[in-house]
Amino acid sequence: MQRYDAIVIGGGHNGLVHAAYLARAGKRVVVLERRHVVGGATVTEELYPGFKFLTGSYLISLLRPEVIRELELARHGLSIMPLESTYVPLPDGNYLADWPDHDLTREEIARHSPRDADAYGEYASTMRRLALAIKPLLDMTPPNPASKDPRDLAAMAQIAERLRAMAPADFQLLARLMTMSAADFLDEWFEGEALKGTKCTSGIIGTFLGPRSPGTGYVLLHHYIGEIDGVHRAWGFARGGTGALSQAIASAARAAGAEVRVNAEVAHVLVKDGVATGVVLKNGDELYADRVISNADAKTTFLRLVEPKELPDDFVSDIRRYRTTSPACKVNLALSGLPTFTSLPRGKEALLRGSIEIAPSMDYVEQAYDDAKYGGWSTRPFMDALIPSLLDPGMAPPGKHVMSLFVQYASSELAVDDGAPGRDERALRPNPQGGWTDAKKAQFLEVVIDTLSQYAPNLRDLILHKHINTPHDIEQSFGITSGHIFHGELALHQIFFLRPAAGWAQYRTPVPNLWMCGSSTHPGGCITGAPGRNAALEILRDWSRA
Amino acid sequence: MSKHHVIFVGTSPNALAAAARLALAGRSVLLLGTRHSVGGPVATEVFAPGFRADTGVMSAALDPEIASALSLSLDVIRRDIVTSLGPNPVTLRTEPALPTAVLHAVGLLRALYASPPPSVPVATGSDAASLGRLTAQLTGLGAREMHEVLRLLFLPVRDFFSELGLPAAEQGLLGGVAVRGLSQGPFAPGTLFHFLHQLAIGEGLFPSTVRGGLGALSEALADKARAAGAEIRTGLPGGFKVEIADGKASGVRLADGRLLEADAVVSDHDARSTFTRLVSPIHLDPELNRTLRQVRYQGTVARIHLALRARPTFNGVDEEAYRGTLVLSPDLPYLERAWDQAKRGVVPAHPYVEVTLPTVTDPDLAPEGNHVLSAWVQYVPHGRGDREALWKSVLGHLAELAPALPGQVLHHEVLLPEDLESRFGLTEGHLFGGQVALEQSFFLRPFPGSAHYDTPIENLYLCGSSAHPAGYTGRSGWNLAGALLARK
Repeated sequence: MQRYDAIVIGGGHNGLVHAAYLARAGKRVVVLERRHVVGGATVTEELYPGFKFLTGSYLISLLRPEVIRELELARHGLSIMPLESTYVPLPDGNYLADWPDHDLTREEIARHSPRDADAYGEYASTMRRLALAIKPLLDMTPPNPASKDPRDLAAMAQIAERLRAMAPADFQLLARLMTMSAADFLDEWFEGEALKGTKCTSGIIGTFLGPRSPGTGYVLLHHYIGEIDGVHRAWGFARGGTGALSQAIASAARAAGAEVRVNAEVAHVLVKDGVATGVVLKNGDELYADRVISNADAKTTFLRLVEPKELPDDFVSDIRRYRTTSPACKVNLALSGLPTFTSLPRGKEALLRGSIEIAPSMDYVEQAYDDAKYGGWSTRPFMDALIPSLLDPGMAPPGKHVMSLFVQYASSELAVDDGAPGRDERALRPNPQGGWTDAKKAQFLEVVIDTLSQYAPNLRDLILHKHINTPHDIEQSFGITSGHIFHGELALHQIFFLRPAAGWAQYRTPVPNLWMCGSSTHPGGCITGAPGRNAALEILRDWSRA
Repeated sequence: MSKHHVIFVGTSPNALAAAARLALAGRSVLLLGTRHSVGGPVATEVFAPGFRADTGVMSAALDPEIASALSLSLDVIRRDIVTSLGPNPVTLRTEPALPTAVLHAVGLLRALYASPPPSVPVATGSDAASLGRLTAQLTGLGAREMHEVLRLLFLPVRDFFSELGLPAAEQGLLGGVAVRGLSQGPFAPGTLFHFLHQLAIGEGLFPSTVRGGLGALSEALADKARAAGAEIRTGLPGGFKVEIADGKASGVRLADGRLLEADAVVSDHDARSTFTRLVSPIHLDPELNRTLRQVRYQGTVARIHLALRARPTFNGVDEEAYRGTLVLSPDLPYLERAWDQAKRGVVPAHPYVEVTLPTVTDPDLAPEGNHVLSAWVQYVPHGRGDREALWKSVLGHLAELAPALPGQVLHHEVLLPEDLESRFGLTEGHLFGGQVALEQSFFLRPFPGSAHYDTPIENLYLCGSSAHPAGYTGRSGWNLAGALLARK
């Protein structure tokens, strides 16, 4: 009989983190992963011999230092190389760069605008202060504002105290930043289009909004927390690609005694007398446990893995309305050599070892959003690119390269050819393709290559293989509804105590003994490991009370 | 010249309500205005011989508590029917059913609007009490409803109406209400808050005017203030300055150099106007200047008034619909696309338009048999300056649905945002004293650090739509008056 203390549905990075923490606390845990490889969207896939593609995530930027330390991930093979720079080629042949070195960056900004260079220091220190103020919120279980439970009241008091302790000017700025657009905020600091272009991108990555949309200021701040953690060497490229992170966490989990199974797709959760008792696999096997924890996204969990009759109607409609429409694609290129960027001066080739951003201005990014928001894609997409083989030669055969491109925007609700919006957000069925036909997929891949070629004209000549994961593909491969890399928008109306639904934001679900630990819970997406860890701490607390 | 207790610069309904309240309490109050009529942008003016229109805002409703406290009874005309124009017009006579959370959220906003915004972090005892009451009101809704209400604050209009499964035409109409005066499209987070705000100030699908035009509302308020002892001087030459001595406001110096002394000076104008025109820059520290520069105005509304030979007929529109509002906003993407262009400084090919024919219910606004058409044209960026092009565009849109209209036009007047700016002294032509966005609301309105209507200059206060709450309900002035009375 397959009996465990805990079953984790889904071996994405949060599920693995979760399992590791439970195992370290002495629990008998099994992780059930549908695919042949763990990691969810945090994988490295050798789609062509010798070429390792980052088919999902590509950088580690918000991984909680506690997770790295407590799971001893370095010992299990995690090696993160900080990114050395950001390079933003501009259409006029100029470029903008930045480095972790503040002075170097200031000098570079001054090359474009002395005024911006002067403002830069204050901007950086202000963002740092604000990010530090909200950072603890990432690592806490959100309090339920409707609850009278002492723990919730204490957490709310703690948050209130934190806010009260801020300098009034900082507090007011934080209050404004939470609801402002990244564009309005950046306009208050800087004049340079290129600088604002590159800065605004962290306000929209993974979010189906443009830099002028309110709410992107908050996302900007959320990502800035990663800059702070950078001092802990927690931000950058993992040797072996992000898949190496998943392997390291899986290794830590196994070392602690957790079982990790691949090719083990869960068909549904077993519920008996309203209580979760285990799972049934696609192959018919049944496994039982005291606790079942889903790392799958909220819609997959509650609209597919659990029978509707086990859930309150309110909750089901809350999950249905949880916004998951996604704008992100992932492209990978296998190259016979390095692309030549025309704006890259001789002597500055090292800039190719860092982030390469196609975001020459805020308006460029806004236009990319506008093109897609009615059910289309950007004619000139925003891209966050990387050449991993420059950092880790093992990612490609000798002399050759891989290039990873995170691309926005291409809607998961792509209009079908008759002009009607795509299939997204209807009742969950095994993914009809909707607007993303094979032809559309190939077409958008060419749009991406064309756009990048504007900055590196020899690109096409170098392409040995090309691959794209559209939102539909991300959904199919990684099993995430709508292909949303954060499991759902990091929008103000569905974060913190509202994520994924009101009253159910503390990792528990309406089904006793069924829990959640993935990006559909606080603090949401990015490779943080925080939902996994937070949920583990909650469950262990709950276990010790029982 | 004797000293007044309070001098107001500006005569909008917010200043008038404040003045009336103070005067009734025995304070000596003086209001100063440069226009010959009171009301600021809540005004009715002759725009063609014999023809009058509400030239600034298109609707306004006095807060019922204020009207009652002043025993003011107005002949309110509610535009109780709204039509979405197009090949298949859709007419609404009642509001679509909305979730109870909307009602509760509006109730909360009304409660918030009924007093000065509590300063956050909590600064005074009354702030704490205020915040406590609001929290009690919120938690009293019960867990689920409370969560629903909080969720509404940040939702995009588009998401909310699509969750409700409303038909496109209704979404277009409600979306129009939501974005009135806003420099945002309905896809943006935070836009539902603006919809709730509209409902909280008595605007919505069925806004109100008064018989005689909105100017009559301002006049009626002015009469009450005068009856209570307030003095109102209009038509003064511009160029007043707030007199400041030892960092404190001590009165107002007129253009001719005369000084009118007062214990307190209240500016009814927006923060930027106040601190660039009324107050000499030497009194301001750089931090305040920077803060003020960050307040967003971005007026994107133009007004078009037509003197018509006869009442136009729009294809497929019910007879009774002409007493209400006719709207060009077939669905939410229509609004969003108009904003897509405007945010880049381009006048949209298809602007958001609300049309009223006030003469249908108030024939005295025009000579007998003639009519006035007054349009609210939105997403017209400030400073693009082409009145005739906008006129042609709007006429073209309307004429498609009312083919006889061009031949009926006797006279047209176009007021672009820059015209509203120069006529009414509104920064960037914004009719409501600054964008009504969350980051510029409550304790952040009119600017961070300006809690309780105070400014960094002692004895100088801000009321007006630029302060809390935005709009012309009289509330911002009434709240300020209450605070001043409590202090002395």
